[in-house]
Amino acid sequence: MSETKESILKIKNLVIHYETDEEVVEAVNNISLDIGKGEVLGLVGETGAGKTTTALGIMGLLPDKVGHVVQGNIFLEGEDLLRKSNREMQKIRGKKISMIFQDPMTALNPVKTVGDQIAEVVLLHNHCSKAEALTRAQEMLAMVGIVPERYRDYPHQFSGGMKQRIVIAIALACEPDLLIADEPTTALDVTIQAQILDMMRKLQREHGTSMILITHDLGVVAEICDHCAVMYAGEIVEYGTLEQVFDRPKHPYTRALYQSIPSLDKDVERLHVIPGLVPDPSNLPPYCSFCERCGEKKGVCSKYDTSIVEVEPGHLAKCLMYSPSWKEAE
Amino acid sequence: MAKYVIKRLLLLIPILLGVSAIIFVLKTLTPGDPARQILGNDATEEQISAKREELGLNDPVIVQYVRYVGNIVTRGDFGTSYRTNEPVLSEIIPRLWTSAKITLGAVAIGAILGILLGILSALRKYTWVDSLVLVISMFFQSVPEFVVGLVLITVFAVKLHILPAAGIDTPLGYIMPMLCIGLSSVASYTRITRSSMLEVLSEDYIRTARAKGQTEKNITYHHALRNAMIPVAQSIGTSLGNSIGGGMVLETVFSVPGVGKYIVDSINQRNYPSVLGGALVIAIVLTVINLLVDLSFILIDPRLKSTIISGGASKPKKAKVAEA
Amino acid sequence: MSKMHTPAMEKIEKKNARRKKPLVATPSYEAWKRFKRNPTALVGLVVVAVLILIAIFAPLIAPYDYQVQDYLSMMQKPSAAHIFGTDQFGRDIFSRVIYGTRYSLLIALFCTIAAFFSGGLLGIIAGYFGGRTDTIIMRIMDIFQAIPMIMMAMCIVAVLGNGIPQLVAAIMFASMPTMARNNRAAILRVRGCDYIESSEAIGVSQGQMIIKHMIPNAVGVMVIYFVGFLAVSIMMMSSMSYIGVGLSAPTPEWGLILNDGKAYMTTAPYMMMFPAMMIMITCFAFNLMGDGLRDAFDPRLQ
Repeated sequence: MSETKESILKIKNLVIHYETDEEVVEAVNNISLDIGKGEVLGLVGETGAGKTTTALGIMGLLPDKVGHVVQGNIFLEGEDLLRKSNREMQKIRGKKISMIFQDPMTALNPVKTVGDQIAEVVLLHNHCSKAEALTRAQEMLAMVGIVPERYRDYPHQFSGGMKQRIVIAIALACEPDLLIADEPTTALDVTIQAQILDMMRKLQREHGTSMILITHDLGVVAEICDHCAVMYAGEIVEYGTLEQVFDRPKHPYTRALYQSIPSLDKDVERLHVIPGLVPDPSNLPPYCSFCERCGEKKGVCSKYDTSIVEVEPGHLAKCLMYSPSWKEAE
Repeated sequence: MAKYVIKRLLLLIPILLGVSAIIFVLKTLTPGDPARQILGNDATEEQISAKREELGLNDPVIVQYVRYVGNIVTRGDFGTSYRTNEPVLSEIIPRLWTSAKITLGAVAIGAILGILLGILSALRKYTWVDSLVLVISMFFQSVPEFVVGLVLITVFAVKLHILPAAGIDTPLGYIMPMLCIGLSSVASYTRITRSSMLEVLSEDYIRTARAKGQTEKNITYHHALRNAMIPVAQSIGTSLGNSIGGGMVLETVFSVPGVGKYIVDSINQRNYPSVLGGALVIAIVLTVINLLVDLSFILIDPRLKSTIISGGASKPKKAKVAEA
Repeated sequence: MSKMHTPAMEKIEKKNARRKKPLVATPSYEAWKRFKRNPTALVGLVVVAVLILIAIFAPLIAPYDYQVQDYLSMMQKPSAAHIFGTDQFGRDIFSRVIYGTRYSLLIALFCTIAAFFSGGLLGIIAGYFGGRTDTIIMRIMDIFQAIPMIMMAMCIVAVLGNGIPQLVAAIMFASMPTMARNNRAAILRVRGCDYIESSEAIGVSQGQMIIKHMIPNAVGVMVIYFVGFLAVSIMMMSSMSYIGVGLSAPTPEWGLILNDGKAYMTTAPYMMMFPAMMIMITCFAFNLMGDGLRDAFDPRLQ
């Protein structure tokens, strides 16, 4: 990681478990991340890789009683969010960190007008009157490309793409320092996806907001991210700048991911498939989680685990391949 | 909107025709000859057959049914009580009012207690508070109302002498019947409120509100409650209708002169026109109340309004227009 | 090295180690597991089991014949000879209440079976065939629904007269709309499932579909309705016979025993206390059990 950049969010050795009577799900395993001011980080991975859990952990919104941060720190501008009281977190959410959720269809309260829902967050974090908050709500609607007069309408009167714009308006209403977008376009039509992404990138640049973009779509990452972190089974297996991860992928999983993207230029009979399944997160192996599915594995892979190492400046990968013992093996 | 109301009103017609048909079938199955019932045992055969002719009992059943419905529609004639020779309708209307008062009180008691307990139990889910609330409210739901009534009478009237055991001569007389019906419905409101609250609290928009930095208290009362109240209001509406006619047993236990007691008394006196006529009047009242309740939901849930206005389509069309 | 080990995980590991046989994850086994964890449901189950035993062995438990009138011991307070006391005819209330268990449970069972074979079946037909059949059946049920259940039952009994078969018929008819609606919903829920559609797509025959897929999946919900309706029938039956509609003396049904004691409420409250307690316990137990079943079969409803 480049030492020069000023970081806004720093995650250190974060471990999050979901505990029930029946099992413990190891959702996030010892991840560390650093997001610089104004930077856009793409968090990529399959369903169940722990992307959303990481986001909820940052927001302090892990499901009650079940979700636990077992260890680690999350520093927002030097302050550890995990040590904050609920009340302090309420002041941070919506003001300093905002989050956009996956499904815009259900993210808005059906019995409140959209204007009220945008004004709500404004009122919570600013000392202003209801009328001023509603004016701000109308400005926000205009900013995301909706006729401001529609602030009196209810969510069901908008289409999916428009709802996602409203959700974005809510998230940006207090000009947060960090925006977490959890698969913001997955639930939308492809044509709408591009519009929403364009708008998000534009707004992000205008306001200099830092952003974590969670997605399983590598195309989306390529389009708007500066940095990219690949997650697998609750771990970050590769991290680097967009060029590093896309042009010189170092982890076998990342490589396999690229091979499974359909390409228009190349004519292939079948898409490449990563064999096997994601390991059961309630029963992770004590060795490399990707080992079973890895095409480049050696005997040692099913014996030891390793930690993430820097393979070139600013480019990290978590694979035994980069440990000194690799060459000796076999 | 007006179109929807008219449509719903038109739908009433087949239902009311059906109900009157059921009652009419029961009426024809009724043992005994109405002519003899009216004239008494001293009447001669000639007198009876003359009366039968007069009552139209010799006509085909279908003709009798048409006449029966015709009488109801044109003259409000639901039959004549054997006992008093008064029209059933005029006997029932004052009693309906008494029953309605008790029902309103009972529904208010049940709903207020139920909603409060339901919220409590949802917020303290899976704790002993939650279990206790559910078990107690379920006890009152599962025990027949009249047993609770008997216990209340024994305690408050027989032992403590603070409430009258029967009758509604004083306003105090209303307390126990209302309490009995109310308590028995607490459980269902508690349960509906609880599950609806829990469901709403797990909705995405609650998470959105949390992500805004909203306090838990405001999330519960401003975001969740209004959404959670929709099914509760629906069930209040349904029970409003049902308890008017369902209070038969309790009205008898407490000697309340309501419609329920009227029908039970008529059953015991073998006064069939009153029983069936009364049941028909109640069914009509209920159906109308249910319609009114349905219509009032449009006021609670803004989603319903556009659904209904756009002709009952499941997806609101307005959104599409706005997008274009 | 990057994976964590927490106390919660150790606890579960220990629990897994103690488990003798491997987990069988059939729906009914899962349901039983959830039911077992629910203490109130277990209490309900135990009480219901005891009640059934009482009903079966009533002649062995009851010290006296339930209808023998003993004019030497009328209106006696509870004592060693008559632990629940005697009524105005000198009949032993304990024996009457014990036999009452038999009558009440049996009549409730008849009512429930009748209700399942009328309203329940209509609902299943409506749900399975759908389309016009569904519309016709459900519109008729809408009409029945317009009359409150207990009023419908009373009107029918008023016309048919008192007696067990008449009562069963009355409750059956009165419950038809609710029964039909519930069972229809149960079938529709199963029918709408993707796996039914996919088995249809791979050409599973209709008979096989009903037997292999729909019944096992709908059975849970139906068991819930069955137990729930037993409680409803006991409630309706005792309410009706308490106000003198439905059954007639000397049937030792709890509501009727209460009706007998009504006149002596102030002088001999014990006459009403015990049958009333039996009604409370029975209805409560059935509801606790039904509730446990609902949670067990449908964890999402919790």
